[in-house]
Amino acid sequence: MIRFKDVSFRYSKDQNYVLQDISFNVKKGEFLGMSGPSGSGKSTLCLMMNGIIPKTIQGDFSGDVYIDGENIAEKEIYEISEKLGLILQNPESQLFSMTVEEELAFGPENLGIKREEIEDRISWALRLVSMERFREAFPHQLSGGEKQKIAIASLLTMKPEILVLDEPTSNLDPKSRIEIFKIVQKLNRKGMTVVVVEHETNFISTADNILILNEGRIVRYGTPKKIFREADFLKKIGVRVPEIVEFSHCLLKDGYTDDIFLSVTEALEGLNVKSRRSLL
Amino acid sequence: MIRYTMFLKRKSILHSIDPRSKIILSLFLFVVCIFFNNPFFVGTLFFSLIIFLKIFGKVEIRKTLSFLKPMLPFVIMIMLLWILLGSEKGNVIYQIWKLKIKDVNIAMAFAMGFRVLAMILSTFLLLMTTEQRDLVLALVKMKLPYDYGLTIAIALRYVPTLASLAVSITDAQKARGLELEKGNILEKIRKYVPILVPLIVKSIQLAQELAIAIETRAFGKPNRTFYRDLKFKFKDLVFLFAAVIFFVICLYLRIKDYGTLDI
Amino acid sequence: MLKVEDLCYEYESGFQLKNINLEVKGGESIGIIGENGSGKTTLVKNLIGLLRLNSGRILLDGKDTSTMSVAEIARSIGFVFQNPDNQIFASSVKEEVSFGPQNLKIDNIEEKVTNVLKTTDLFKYKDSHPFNLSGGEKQRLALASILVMNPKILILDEPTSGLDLKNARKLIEIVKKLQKEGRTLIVISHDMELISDLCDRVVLMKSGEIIADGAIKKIFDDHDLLEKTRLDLPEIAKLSKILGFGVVFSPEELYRKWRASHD
Repeated sequence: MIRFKDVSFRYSKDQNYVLQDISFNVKKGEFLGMSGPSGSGKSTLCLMMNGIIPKTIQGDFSGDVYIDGENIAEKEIYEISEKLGLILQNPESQLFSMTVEEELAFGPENLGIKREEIEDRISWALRLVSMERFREAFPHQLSGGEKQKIAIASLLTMKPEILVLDEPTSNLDPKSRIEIFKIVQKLNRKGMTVVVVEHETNFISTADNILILNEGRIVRYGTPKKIFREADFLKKIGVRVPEIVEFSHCLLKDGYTDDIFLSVTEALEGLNVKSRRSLL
Repeated sequence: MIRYTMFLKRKSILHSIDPRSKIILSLFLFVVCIFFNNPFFVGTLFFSLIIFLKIFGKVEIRKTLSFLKPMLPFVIMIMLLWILLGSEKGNVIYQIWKLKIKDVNIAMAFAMGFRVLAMILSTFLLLMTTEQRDLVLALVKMKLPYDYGLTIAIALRYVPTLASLAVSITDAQKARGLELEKGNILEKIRKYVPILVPLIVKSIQLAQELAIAIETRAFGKPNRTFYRDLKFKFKDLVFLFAAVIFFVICLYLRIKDYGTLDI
Repeated sequence: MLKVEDLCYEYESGFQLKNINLEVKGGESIGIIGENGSGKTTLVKNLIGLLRLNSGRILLDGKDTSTMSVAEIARSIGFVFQNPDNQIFASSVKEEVSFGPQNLKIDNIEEKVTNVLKTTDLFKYKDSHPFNLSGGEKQRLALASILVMNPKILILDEPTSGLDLKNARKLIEIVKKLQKEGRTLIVISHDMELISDLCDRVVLMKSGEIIADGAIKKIFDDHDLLEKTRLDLPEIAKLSKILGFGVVFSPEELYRKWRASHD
């Protein structure tokens, strides 16, 4: 679904490359988590997925990016946007309409969708993010979490096959974070290909694969179990490790287990505390 | 709470009229205000507008006045300027030192005061009874290119965002000992630098992100459709017709020199 | 040191703080927690004088703060806002940090700025443009620009939010150093691990009221209280509760407890 082949990039004003020799694949329906310390090139990578880099933000670009088998170099951004939706960190800048309803209509309007169809899509998208009550609301008056849900919904009305989220919750409270990630997981289960960038690795521990960036290069790639096995390496480069994983590393070190746990449930299973599982 | 729009939610005839008809009425009213300078004529026009808003727009007179209140200093200044620096003609009714206060100039001051108020009100009439999105849509329907319409809509949309940002920045600088009230005028102006710089930097940042967000939503693809539509109904036509008749009558009166003062 | 008595505050929009009573002793470290909109920030804005309470009083070293200006309060209570971009305006790091002391007319600014920049590990950037700093460095700059005024009480709002591991650790290290020097600390955060790491006492807020005030463990072991505030426990705390070790926020501590019971 997404394929990067030997991609390197340098912003016009900078001397150093932000990204170098990036190659990876994301399969249809896959959930890819991405992490890395600040300045490792995560956001730049996201902007490449729909061609904003190098089409709008220019610089020294080499390599090829394929979305759904097609090289996006030959495509317009609006053509790519039909397939791939991108959510940025700050929801305020992504909601530029007077009402939620118009926000959700903006994308499909640009795509030239008929009115009745847009109407249906708005209702559908609002239901998906559980925000039906806010159809007539003014975006500025919503809370941070609500804004981000509407930002997601405003892409869903374009019916993309891929959703890329660049630190979508970094300014939100824990409750909203969990809500947003539940929505993302739901979309993934429905078959959508999802890429989530997060420095809070708790939220990508359920991903199919995780990609770790450091200083503009891919330094690790694999399943969460494989990635989190190297907790010391992650911490060394400045990537947070989920607390449950840290706990299981303590157990691992002293030989109480031979596997790491990614969730409370896994930890309880691993520790054979079956009787207490009902407490969850 | 910062007010971000002048729109007042009411169920009224004026609210239900197509914004295009209202834009034209608003324009007519604005021009008509310039036609006359007889204080009784302009005054009648101003008070009629308030009553018109009350009857057809269900906007309480108190509410209308509260919207006009912030404009008062401006109006009073215009009136004072007319009284003090108006025409040389007319009879002096009061004199302090070299300042002669003349009857003609007092009449003109009232005419100008009412004119400015009526002009403001003819614009407010549109803004109080029309939602911003419908206003923008109407402009686009009246052949304003969509890009411009979108730009206007976005500018209006971000007024409250920037206003609350300005408050947060001011709070942060006050917590660092900034005292905006203290000092002479020059010092006061300089004290706004620590507020303006972050505000400008963040606005630019917001604009850059906004540009990306708009692009990711397929902006620029040819053959755009519009989800919301305006339907020009029979009553909108009647309303427009009434506005035209009103305008023509006023124009006729002006040509016949009614409602003007000779100075 | 700081005493809040029956503080009540009401916004125009209706949200209110109700009967807040709080005593902060010198050298204490207090965490304020609660859902979004529970009144944490409103309370702190009252403490530093950005908002003025409707009734009750705030005593700073026995002196009522109602007659003090925000700048005067800033000499004793420093509030580091969450978003450093909302305050950075100067053209060099040194100048940025000097802003507060200049406003408060503090002596030996140069020396104080140098010291604070060393404490926050920014000395090497003293002549750099603050806009070129990384997110973590900007956060430390915001801390430095408050710390330089030498407040006895330091209030931090979500100090580590948005920071990566390295930067968060560095900031916590600095804050711990300040604690050791005897500075009184108030931390607002959703991050329970951070709160449990820095604070010994927790104030729990809900709908504008303080509903609990005490040792962190005591509050988190109280089931009913947690239900009431709908606060989410971090995964590690959930696990340790199920394992029967009460609430624990650090993986290492949980492991120690688990091992002690296992062997």
